[in-house]
Amino acid sequence: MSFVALAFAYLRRRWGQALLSIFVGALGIAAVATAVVGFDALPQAARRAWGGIDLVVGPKGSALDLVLCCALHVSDPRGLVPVKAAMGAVANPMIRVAAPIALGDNVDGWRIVGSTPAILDVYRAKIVSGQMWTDKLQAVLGASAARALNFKLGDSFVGAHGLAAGGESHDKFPYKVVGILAPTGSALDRLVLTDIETVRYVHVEQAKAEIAEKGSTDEENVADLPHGATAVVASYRVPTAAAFMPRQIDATDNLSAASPTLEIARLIGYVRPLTIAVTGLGLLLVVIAASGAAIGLLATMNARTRDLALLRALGASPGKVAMVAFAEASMIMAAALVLGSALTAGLLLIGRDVLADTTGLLLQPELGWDQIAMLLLGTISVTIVAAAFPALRAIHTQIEELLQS
Amino acid sequence: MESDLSASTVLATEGVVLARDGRAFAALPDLAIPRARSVAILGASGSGKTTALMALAGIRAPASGEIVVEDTALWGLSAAARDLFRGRRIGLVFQSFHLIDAVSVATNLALAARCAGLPPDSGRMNQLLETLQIAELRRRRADRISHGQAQRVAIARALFNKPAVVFADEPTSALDDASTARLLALLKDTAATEGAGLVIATHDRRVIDSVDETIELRSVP
Repeated sequence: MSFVALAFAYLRRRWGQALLSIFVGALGIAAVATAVVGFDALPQAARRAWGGIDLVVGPKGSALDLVLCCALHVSDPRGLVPVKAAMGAVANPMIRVAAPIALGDNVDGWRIVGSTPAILDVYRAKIVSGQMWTDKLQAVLGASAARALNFKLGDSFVGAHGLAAGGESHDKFPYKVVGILAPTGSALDRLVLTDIETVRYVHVEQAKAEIAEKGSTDEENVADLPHGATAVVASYRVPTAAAFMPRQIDATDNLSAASPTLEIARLIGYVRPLTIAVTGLGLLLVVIAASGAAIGLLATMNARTRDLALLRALGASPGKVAMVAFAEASMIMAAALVLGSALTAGLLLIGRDVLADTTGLLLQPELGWDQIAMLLLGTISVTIVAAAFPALRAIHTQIEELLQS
Repeated sequence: MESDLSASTVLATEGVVLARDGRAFAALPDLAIPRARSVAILGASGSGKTTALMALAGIRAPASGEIVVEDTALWGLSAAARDLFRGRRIGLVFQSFHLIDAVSVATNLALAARCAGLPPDSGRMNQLLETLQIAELRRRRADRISHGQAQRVAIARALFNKPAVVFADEPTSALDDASTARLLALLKDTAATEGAGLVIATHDRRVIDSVDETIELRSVP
């Protein structure tokens, strides 16, 4: 039997302890790898969240509100703007493309957004199946929305009033799915797009029906709907537009301009202490995980000290004794690396889906060569540290202690 | 390193003084042990028997003196050469046997060869296991054999590489009279059959009648 085979026999003999060491090691590796990949992929995902939107034009008010509502689609709208005025404000050679958006309804909590076909150009999105709407009450679904709602081309659904699930249903106005978009990693993935005229049509007709039935309607701003929109989103043709366009629009009486890049940078500035704390916690987790892996391995390897000292007494050189210790530690850590990599992949896949469905952020986790090298170096370091202690102890153990024990 | 001691002598010492924590504390009478002869080093606990055994086995250096196994001056070798020499020419039987639990009886013997850089000889293994009447234990894991069987495996391992001399440290300390007699007979007979010298370090006076010669360590003032 070779010394490597002896190391394997040790693992088989104490398989429970070995499994525990492998599991602890795998958890450590998964924690480190997930943190490394997450810290890198999350900011990139956040930057992709607002797609190609450089400018949001809406009613006067908080610029951050405008971005959160109309670029990231995570908060409620503040009112309407006249479409003609808003589109006029962005009719400038420095603007590559602009599209109005009208919010107000949802399907099972997924926002229905009325717009024009130009919205796809703003996000640089592509239809992956079906086509763009050509008539009222036709819908094109973002990738996450289509997956979560389990809608296929030709399916019908009815919208409900408001931006959260549970509102009054517009039963008389069923939509038909005519297209599904490819994932973009932006908030667009969570939207159900339709013609802006459809949003106006549904609400105006709903109001008419309610007035005919009850003498009044709960629909708000019905009178403004034919001419209004929640906002206009636009993409610059040239970066220098950022220096002129917002200032020019803010100078108008009833329009406000917001830049997602600036507003989110400002928001991140507000929550920087929190992100520092989260990063610190992440680093702490990494240290704890690495220590846990090293301690688990050390406990396993310490149990070998007596046998390793015996091998020395039987004539094995320090190198051979060290080889047994390192072979066993390496087998444990190699198994932990495989299991840890599988755990990391699983965690990132689950995390990607959860993040995409809840926030629309499309995590695209990728391990760069530098990160792989760092992970391997870390694993090898833990292996060396854990194996070195028992190997050194065995090499320097007074064999008379072994003889007398 | 060559020595001029007789070729039939497997272990010879001259002027060996033992040290503990840097201070000389005991001296070993000069020895010249031929093949198949058994010697007991007697002494109370703490008198230096184990330290003497460590010096004789090339594990811990004596304060002074010469130790020659066959024709090799043990402490004239480099550390690596001494390790290899110990594995090939010196057999060790520990008080608690110290078999490796995780592997079979056969593997315990094979590891003795591997540690000494030798290929395990399966014919030799069969012969030893049969001599010691434990051939049926060959594939059994070492933690699944009895105390008496473990004694025999430990003796087989000590003799596996055909050593010139076997050292046993307090092999009878936890045994009753009958077991002591059986173990000593087994050790002595097997070593004699193999042509190896046998040195037993013990405080057990029951050993005296079973060996060819006894010596006692002298205190160094």
